[in-house]
Amino acid sequence: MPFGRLIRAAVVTALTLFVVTPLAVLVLTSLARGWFHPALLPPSLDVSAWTDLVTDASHRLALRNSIILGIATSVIATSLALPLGRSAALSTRAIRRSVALLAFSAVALPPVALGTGLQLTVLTLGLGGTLVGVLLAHLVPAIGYLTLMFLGVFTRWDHRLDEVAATLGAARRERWRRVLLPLLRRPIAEALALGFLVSWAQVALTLLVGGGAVRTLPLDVLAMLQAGQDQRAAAGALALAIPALVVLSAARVAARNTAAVVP
Amino acid sequence: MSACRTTGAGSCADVAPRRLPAHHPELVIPATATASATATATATAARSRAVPLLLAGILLGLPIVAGVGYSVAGAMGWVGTAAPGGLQRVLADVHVLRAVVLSLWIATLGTAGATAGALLLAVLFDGNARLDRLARTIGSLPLPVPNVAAAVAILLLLTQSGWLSRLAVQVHLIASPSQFPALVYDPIGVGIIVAVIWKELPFLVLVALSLQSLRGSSLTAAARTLGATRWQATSRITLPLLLRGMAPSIVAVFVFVLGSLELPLVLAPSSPLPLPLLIQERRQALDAASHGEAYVIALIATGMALLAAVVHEWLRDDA
Repeated sequence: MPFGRLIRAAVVTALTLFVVTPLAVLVLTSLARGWFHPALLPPSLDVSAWTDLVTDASHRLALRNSIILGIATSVIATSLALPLGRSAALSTRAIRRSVALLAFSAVALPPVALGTGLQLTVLTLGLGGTLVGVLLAHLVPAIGYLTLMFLGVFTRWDHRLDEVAATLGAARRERWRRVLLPLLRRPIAEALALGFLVSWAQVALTLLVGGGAVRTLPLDVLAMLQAGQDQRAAAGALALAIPALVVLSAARVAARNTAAVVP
Repeated sequence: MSACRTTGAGSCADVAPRRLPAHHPELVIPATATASATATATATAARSRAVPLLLAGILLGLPIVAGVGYSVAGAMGWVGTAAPGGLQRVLADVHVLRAVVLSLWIATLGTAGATAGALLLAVLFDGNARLDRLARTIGSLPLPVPNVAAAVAILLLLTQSGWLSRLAVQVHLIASPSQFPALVYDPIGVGIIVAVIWKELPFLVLVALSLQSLRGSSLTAAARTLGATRWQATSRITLPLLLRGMAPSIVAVFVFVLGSLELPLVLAPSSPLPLPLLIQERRQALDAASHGEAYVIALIATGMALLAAVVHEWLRDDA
């Protein structure tokens, strides 16, 4: 069927151009020195923008803040969303739906609108412009995402394992330690990764609650762009994609290993 | 057990021990025990309702109420420096109307474009040939790229001195950057819409493909056996089923795009401003009246998002 094959080939070509060109331009810009209009390719390449990300003191601070916020958000949000998702999944349908609606709202409310109220709350607590204040703000969408995730996990969960352990005399704590947590290893790892990424890519809440005093990598990228430092902005933008890339590859490897065990 | 551990939650059902048979002679429970068991069950049931409600209330409800509540209070002039009467001014403000229209326009076109692309890929490339796998891999490439980075990439591509403009000069379509059409900072948001499609396509492709693989090909095969053409089977069976399954995800994409600050921050025009930027602008204005308006506009944006959240929950039937 040559016509169908022609269409498929045309679609793949268009898709490749559409998806790959922006990424390629981003990579080239991050490595380009003195790349002026209308040159299609940079005259020379250097990695200074990349090394600046790590060596420049102000970038290092932003990077450090981003990493601290990401790790703290992921650990705290996971440990709060797991019990919430589990208890909601075990409850009535009405409660499950209300919790899901609340969680989705925390994710879907425009960060600028949500941040306006959160900013005033954080200011009232005396935490305006601090890392802790920004962390509190990041936790809101992160808990929303992770609650939705654990709600999904526990709605499809086989609760009989837990019941059997209880029947066999295992106390509550022992059931968590020896039955639930080992089974939950993978969802927890995914939740930690997702929580990190939610905080890592956050702009609006950091901007509003941090009030410009708390600098993170995404804010640095925007600042460099506004200052006309395209090369540095491109390097920073690519650096922003690295954690998600690592998580995705890890998930792909894990999926491949799983397929080998259970076809 | 090792297989169960590796696969995680879902697949453990087949290794789990079976439930005890209901009518087993040695398991007859005395009446008193049943009564106390019933009491315990009732208490457990009450707790199973109280715990999630309490947790959700504290962890999710409080911040949302604080967010929305402060906006309401700010809009009414109860807190902050805002002058009262913001509501009337905002409703009569043509900038606000234009911001709402622009934001809805961007979110609608961006979501529609990404959905169309995802449907196309899911229908054309759900096989196992090398080209299918290649198309799916390329389609999911932007997945790990955060919004800020996507905005920077699209900016470097589409701005008047960007890469496409360079290409146009090289092939003699234009002579100078100023002749290149304004695709970013433009009043109809072409740049943002392109960025939205680029960024959201992978997510919707993944959703569409997982729906395809869950559904299998039996319905389409049956239709083909009954004499439907390939196009009829696609348009009457595959596409409607895919759209129905993707509906919650499509609403989710729409609402994210509506509230997203990152893409407009890098790519939006200064007039008209999309909603999130208009809120920012009014908040940072020097006069007190504008602050009140910022809260009112934030409430409008919140209302639109909450409406979408309700639609999202209504479309999800697995809860």
